[in-house]
Amino acid sequence: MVVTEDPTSQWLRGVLDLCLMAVLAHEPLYGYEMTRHLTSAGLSTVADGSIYPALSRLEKAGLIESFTQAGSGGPPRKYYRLTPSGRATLVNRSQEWRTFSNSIESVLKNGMDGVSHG
Amino acid sequence: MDEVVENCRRTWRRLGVRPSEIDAMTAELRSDLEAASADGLDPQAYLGGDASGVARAWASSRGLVRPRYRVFGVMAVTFFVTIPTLFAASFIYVAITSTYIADLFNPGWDQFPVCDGGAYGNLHGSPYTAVPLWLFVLWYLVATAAGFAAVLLAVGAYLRRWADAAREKTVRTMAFTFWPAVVVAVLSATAVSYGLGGYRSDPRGQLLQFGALVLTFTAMMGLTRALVVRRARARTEQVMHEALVP
Repeated sequence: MVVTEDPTSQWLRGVLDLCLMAVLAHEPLYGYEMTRHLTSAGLSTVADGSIYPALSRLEKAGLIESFTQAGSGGPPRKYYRLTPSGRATLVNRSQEWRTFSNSIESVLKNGMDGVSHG
Repeated sequence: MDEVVENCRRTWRRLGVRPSEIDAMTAELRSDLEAASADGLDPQAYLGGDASGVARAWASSRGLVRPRYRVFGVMAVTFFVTIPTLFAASFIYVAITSTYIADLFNPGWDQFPVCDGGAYGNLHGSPYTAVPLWLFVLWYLVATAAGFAAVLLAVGAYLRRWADAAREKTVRTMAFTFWPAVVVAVLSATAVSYGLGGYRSDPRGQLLQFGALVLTFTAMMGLTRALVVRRARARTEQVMHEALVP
């Protein structure tokens, strides 16, 4: 298989829900603020509107909840925050992700060792 | 920005999302686009250049895409596909019963004139009887297979245009109901022929016989679609109910 496209958007698709829960862990945010947080963390591919379906999924699953709050001088905005169930899920999934990423890291390290010694 | 928002609203309307839900998503999107614009971002780029795709995925993830009946649309597509298919099949029928094909399979079929009460006929009577039966059976099979593929492709394309939530299910179900629908349509045309006192080849008779065939088949396809949507809607309502009621 020849990999020609930027793979980050594909990787992000698998962990976008987790990332959104993580940025909501500190304070309630609205959609664009979440995009800004993730973009400033280096996940620029999130700026494709994919957060909206993801937020709907999370809300349907009861992991986050939304509320409307008047903005400073602007129209009311829809904010999202984690639910208790979302917090517990975030903790569990984060641990699972670390285990998973360590495994990947280990596989990649072996591969790179092979490349440099080959 | 207005163009992006309108693009999304158009998509939601096309998907059959309720107006109140459209307004709620529009308000959220507009406020976010305003914030993005204030930061100097292009609204179109904020949605990755595919506002319609985002709108579709968004409505779908919220469980708002309820299958719409569009029974008459499906019936119209079926009707307009069946007519040219029947014309094409008639054309092949005429070709098969040509003297050229008759000569090919049964050379000399018209070379033995017999005297029939003073008038000259021939051994087999017509090219029709000189053509082997298997060729007619093959013709019927090919014509029906072509009609089958054409109807399913056309209905699938029509429903894809409307991003129909029950598209796949409709096409899959039609693949099964197509055959009984053909049988019922043929029976209906036969009944009309019977009512006319036998098969009629005059224009009025042809119109009534073929009309009964096409209309019955179209109605059967419409009924299939209606039943598929009814079931899909019931399932969607159940999922939405379960999502709302803990």
